Amino acid sequence: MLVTPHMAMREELEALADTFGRDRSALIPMLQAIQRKNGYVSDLAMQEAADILGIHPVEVHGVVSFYGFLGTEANGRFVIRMCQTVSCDMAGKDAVARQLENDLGIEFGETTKDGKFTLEWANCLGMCDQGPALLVNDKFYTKVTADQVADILDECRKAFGATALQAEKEWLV
Amino acid sequence: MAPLPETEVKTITLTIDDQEVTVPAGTTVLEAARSVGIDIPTLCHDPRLEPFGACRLCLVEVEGGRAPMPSCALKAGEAMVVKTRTERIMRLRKFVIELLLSNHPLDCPVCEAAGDCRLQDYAYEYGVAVSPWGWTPHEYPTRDDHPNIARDPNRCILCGRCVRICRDVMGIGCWGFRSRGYDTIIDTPYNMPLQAVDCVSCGQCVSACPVGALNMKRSRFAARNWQTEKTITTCGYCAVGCEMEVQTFRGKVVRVKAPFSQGVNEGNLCVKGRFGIDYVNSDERLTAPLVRGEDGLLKPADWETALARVAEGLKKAKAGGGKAVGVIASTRCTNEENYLLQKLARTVLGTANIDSGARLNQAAALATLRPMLGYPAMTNSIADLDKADVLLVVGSNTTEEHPVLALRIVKALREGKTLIVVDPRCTALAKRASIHLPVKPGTDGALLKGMLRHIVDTGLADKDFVAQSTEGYDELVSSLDLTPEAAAGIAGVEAADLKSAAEAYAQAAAAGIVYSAGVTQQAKGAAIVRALVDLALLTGNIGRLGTGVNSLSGGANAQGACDMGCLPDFLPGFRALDDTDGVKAVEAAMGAKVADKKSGKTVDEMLQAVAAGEIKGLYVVGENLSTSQPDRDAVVSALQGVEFLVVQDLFFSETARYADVVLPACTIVERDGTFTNTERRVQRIRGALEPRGDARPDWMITRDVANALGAGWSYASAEDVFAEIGKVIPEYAGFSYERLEEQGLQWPCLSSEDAGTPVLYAEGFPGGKAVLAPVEYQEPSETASGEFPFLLTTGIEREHFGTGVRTRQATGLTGLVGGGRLEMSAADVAKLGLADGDTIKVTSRYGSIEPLVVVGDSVPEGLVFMPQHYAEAPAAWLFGGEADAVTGVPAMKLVAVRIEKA
Repeated sequence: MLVTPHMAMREELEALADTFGRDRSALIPMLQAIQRKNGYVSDLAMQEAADILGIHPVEVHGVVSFYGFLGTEANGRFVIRMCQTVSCDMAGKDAVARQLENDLGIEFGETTKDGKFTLEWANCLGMCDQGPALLVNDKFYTKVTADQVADILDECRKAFGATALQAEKEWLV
Repeated sequence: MAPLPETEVKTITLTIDDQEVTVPAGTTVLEAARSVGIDIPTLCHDPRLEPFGACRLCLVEVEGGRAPMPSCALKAGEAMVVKTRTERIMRLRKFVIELLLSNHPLDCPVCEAAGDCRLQDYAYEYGVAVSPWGWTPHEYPTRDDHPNIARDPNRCILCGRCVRICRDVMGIGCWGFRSRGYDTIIDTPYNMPLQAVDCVSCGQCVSACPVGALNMKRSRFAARNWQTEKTITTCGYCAVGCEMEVQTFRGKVVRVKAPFSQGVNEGNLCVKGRFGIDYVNSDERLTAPLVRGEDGLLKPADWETALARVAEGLKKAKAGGGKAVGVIASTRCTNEENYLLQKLARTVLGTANIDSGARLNQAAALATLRPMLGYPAMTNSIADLDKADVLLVVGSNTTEEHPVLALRIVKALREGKTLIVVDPRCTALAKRASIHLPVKPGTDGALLKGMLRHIVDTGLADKDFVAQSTEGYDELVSSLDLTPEAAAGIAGVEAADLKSAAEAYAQAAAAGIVYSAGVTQQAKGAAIVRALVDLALLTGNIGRLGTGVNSLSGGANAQGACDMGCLPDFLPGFRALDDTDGVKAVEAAMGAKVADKKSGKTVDEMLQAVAAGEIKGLYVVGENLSTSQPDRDAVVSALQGVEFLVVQDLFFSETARYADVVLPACTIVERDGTFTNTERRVQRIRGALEPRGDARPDWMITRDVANALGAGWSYASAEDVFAEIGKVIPEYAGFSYERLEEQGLQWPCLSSEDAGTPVLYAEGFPGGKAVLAPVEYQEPSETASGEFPFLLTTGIEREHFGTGVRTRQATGLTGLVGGGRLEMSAADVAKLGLADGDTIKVTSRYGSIEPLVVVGDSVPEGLVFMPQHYAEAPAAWLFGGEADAVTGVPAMKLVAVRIEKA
């Protein structure tokens, strides 16, 4: 049988609802799982999540648009979030940020053409004593200097290359 | 009858701005302050909504409290000392307004809300000209995709009232907050057009908006709030009887709002109420009487000519004996007008042939509620519905038929009450119901039999109540010959669901029944109503708040038309024609003799009598028979064939085409009078405009017709007529225009001290005991067969009313839904090889029409649905005129049809 994206999404969300429950409190963990897997939450996913939980789609949309770690547009495989608040700023985030932009050829708020990297600002990652701080997907990098940027990016690219399958699991799930 | 004794309410006394205020416990400080005229500014507060505490404008200082508190969410406490205008509070409020103005577009000169904008008012009051925080308005695109609702997100102050009213009050949820911080915007899911996201176009969001972010598109730039004249009146569409404020300017209705403080609707309106009134401004209105000339054409004439012609025609018809004339009154007419029409029929024309469209909904009440309980009317009040722990809704698509009343059910649902819906279609309420019994069309009787039997078998009946207050228990029990399982089998529902519905209903502390046209317009409607009354009596669910058998009537004044005696077998006040004392009392009060003391004919019978040559003259007021009645050919030939036909209407309706004289009537905003809504509440309608052209109020026309026939009536106003009604009908004795001024009152209201009766039978039944009737169930006469494989059912749509004479002239409604169409399940559409939007031919044994087909998810396979309103494809034409043997209501709910591509 042909499985449409619609049906696939429905199935996936049903499985998530089995795990997290079927009331509104399950919404955020469900959306987080979808975000992790697809890099964004599509309109279709929001609609299906609303149906399954018996809430109105506008509520789901409100949640997705409210939280910075959920998004309605496709992100890169690796979302690099750079802390932009005071202590990281004083610790030298500007140099790191410039290096990231140069190495990736994009500005903050953009995604590389190959769909691998997205650069985003974050407001305080809670690493104020170890700034500048970066969050790459779920992994923290602290006291980052401009020279380390190339290594961090390399690490990501490698994870995506030879050992992609294994690494994807590690990174993405 | 006195109203229910109110439970002792604890009061609280507090001091607000050195003024002592006593309020019931649970009142908020804001409400307490406003109750004594102390104004506290609010933006996010709406009396229809739960407190939200978002705008921070209503801050007050409480003595002994640390920080200022939002008065909208703060409950008044005993001995609390509140200050609302301290220097600190004023400074904080000013700060809030400054922040709001820092990104609010200052386009008041062209803003629709100017003059009716809270932010504008407060900026003025607090003297905020410019914001010290700079001014950077948003640059969002404005949205114009809804026919009635325009949106400018730049003006939005994010108070969330639209979000909350749509989600909480309407139970829908089209609006939500999107994004966060400075970028927050109110939006539909995925920024879709409103109509694509379940919007019912009620405009409640517009009414909630305190600024100009949401406004009524059709009245933009028509008139400023302060330019308009405002008249409080009652809506003329359905029987809920919402109070509304009609704003007029230069002879036209500009917009409609609803006052928060009065009326059953408490500030809510539906799409028809809010956007459906511009038929008043329509150029299609009749502005002069039309008289058919010798050349057979209808030509404008003056009133003298027209009235003389009417008198001549009716006299000629009457010469054939009193039975040779018929008068058809209307649910759209006021009590005064209907009263005069029946008086005209009975005392001037000398006939009992008087009936109205109210029969469609009310006859079942007359034939069942009256003998079983006492009064042929809804037992409880609209405000009662959310007091029920369990609500059983049978054959009522309430959210479409009585949208504002349905808000009570939505409220009950939100409060976690149990809702049981019996409906073959999966209606909006059925989707949210705790138990939906998708009964096979026409088998409600069997289902209810099963429920009654289950209640009896499991001992859930209220034995004390049955013994003390009812008779006929044994006959009822012996008629229950269907086990729950057998009943469920016939009705096509799960036996377990049937049982749990019966148990939930019987075990609830207060359980209410709501039914409507889905029951009464069935071929065996009266039998179903009887079973519903049995259900209530058997479980003692009557005479208390949140209980009762709530029959929802159809047109705005369907109840009133019956109360006034626009019925072939009852005089005003439901006095039967064979009740000699009653007739005498009515005659004395009317000051005229009732000439014909034998039962007259119903609308259908009158039309048949025309064909048989018995009736020669018909006076039809406000009813569009050629579209509303079944068996179309017979109706049309009757209308063509009758020797003399007078039609009185607002528009040149399909029925008016056949008339000899057409009399132009007034709309509800051009005349005075009263309507009686479904909960027996008599409410005023008030003239806001001068009659259009030569049109006259219906009561005046009827008076003049009577006088042209030599009656010598001297009523100078609708109020004069109303005073006479009070004398004729004991239940109306306590009413006067003065008493009805503020808030309508519910009959029975026996004297000018009587506060009316919100709940009937609280102190027993008028006949001493209520009657439990045996339940009969007969299989529906219409079943799907080889030749006619589909079952068709009909219903009402929220956007239209009746046959659309008014609503299809209202530009605010016409754009919202398509025309004549038939809803079919996706599986059936595929099976027939049709596509959504195809024109199809629907044929029953009796007639054929050509609507469009639309795919819908409310109907199961094998069942199709059609709204009743459309003259281009009138569903009524598919029906054969089979009528309920008891009530004479033509069956308009079930017919077997064949469907093919046109």
